[in-house]
Amino acid sequence: MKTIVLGYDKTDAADRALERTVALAKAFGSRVVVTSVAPVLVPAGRGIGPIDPVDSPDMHAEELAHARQKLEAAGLTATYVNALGDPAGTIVEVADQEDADLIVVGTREPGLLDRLIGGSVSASVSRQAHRDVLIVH
Amino acid sequence: MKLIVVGVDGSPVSWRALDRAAELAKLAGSKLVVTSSVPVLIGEPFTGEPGEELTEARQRLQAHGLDAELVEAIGDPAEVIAALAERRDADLIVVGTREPSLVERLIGGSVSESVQRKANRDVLIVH
Repeated sequence: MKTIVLGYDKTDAADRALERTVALAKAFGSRVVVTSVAPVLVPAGRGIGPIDPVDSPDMHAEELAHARQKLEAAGLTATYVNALGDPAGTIVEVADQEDADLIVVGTREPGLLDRLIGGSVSASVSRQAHRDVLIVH
Repeated sequence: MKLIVVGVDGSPVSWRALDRAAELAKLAGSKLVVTSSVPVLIGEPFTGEPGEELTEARQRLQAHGLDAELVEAIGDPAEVIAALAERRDADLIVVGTREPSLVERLIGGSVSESVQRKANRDVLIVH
């Protein structure tokens, strides 16, 4: 397992996913790439751009800084990718670019509505990726 | 990681999942539980004896120098794997997946996705 891509967003599940990534990277001597994806909205009406003000790229840069602190505390150096786009699709794209052997993402319990509209990022990643995916609860 | 549950069905991707589980079990010193389930039983009564898939799984694990507990089951594979993982308090579930077709996606026919929804545990989905 040479390369692991971690999708990170500072939720409890993402922190657990980070811990799992650390354990696996140490065991296998893998390179770690961490990405945090700011979602892009469909522009709606006047004055509302594609950037979600409550989930902005700046906040994702902060999340990456947080992940960096945790990984460095664990003695790991990693590559950090601050990305913009559809979260699941972008994580898969980063994994493709890095030719990752494994994608690690956290998941929360999806609500009924999330399931119906297919809103779970982790499920969407595992559908789109042609790679192994570890989903951490 | 004390216990890993692996679901196998005799497909090539399920053997890849078993290999991944074996690698992880070796690294972490985990115990392995391998399960295979028949969705519906026709004819012979259910004996609980390991079937063809589980016998092959045991041989494959022996090549890794590993032993495993084999659990033959009846029922919906996703339910069986999730329930077994809950019962045994597994740290990780490993399952293989193939690319689901459009129809399968619409009717939610992917076992790996269904496992992920039903189980409140970490799931490694192997492609």
